[in-house]
Amino acid sequence: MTMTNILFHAFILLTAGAGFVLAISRNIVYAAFLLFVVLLGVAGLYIFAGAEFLAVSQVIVYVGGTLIVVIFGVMLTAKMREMKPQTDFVNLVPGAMLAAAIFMALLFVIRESGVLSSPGNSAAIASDNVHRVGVATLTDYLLPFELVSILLLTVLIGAAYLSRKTKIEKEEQAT
Amino acid sequence: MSAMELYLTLSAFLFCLGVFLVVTRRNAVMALLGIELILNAANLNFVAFNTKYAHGIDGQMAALFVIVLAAAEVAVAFAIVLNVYQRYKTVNIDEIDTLKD
Repeated sequence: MTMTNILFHAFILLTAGAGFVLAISRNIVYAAFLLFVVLLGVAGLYIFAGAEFLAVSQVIVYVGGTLIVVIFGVMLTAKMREMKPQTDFVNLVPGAMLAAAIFMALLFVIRESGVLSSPGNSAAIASDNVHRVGVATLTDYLLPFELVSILLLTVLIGAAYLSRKTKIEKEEQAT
Repeated sequence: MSAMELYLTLSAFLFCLGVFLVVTRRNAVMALLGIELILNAANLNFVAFNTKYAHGIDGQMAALFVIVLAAAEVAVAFAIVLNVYQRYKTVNIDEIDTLKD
């Protein structure tokens, strides 16, 4: 077993373990930080799959952006006075059974679909990943790229609009 | 197990954890964390299948757009969650069941 192989398995275990603890954790703040570990683990796995640009984007966008928003959400919605950012389980048994059933079904599909044995045309993983992503973004994927930029602008305005204070709320606070 | 099998199994596992979180949690923030896990599972699949076709880059591009959409989704979702929290003083999904007060 080579060093790369050991690291690969370590990342798999790290991601799966952190995800499992996240799923059973009762404390929302811990859960948000465990999501951080899962996202970093997935970013590591992207590198092993030859997607360096994606790994860096994952770290910047998810870990640097999304997770900050999540933690803001946790902090702003947890009832700090009660000092219990805890959350209960509902439908614990049906939920666990549903998740287990889906997992078994997916495992069955993975084994039986012939995906694993199909050769594909995998040559060695290309080393100029960032270059090729850049070229693809501005040629084959130009339209989705532009659409996504419009979407991001819309989201920016929409999120600012949704989280603003209305006039009535401001007057209520003033009195 | 081959690398491909490990990727797909981990992806299935993360997806199920996400479904479990969405189904079993009352807190809207936890449900959103579950959705993030589901999106990451999908991304992992895209990237894993892309390794089979080393000359193509479609899987990675799809994953890249999923990351952008996930970021957008989280921003709007948390704006809504904060609004709901201001109005109802709770983020318990079971208690937020009125259209208009």
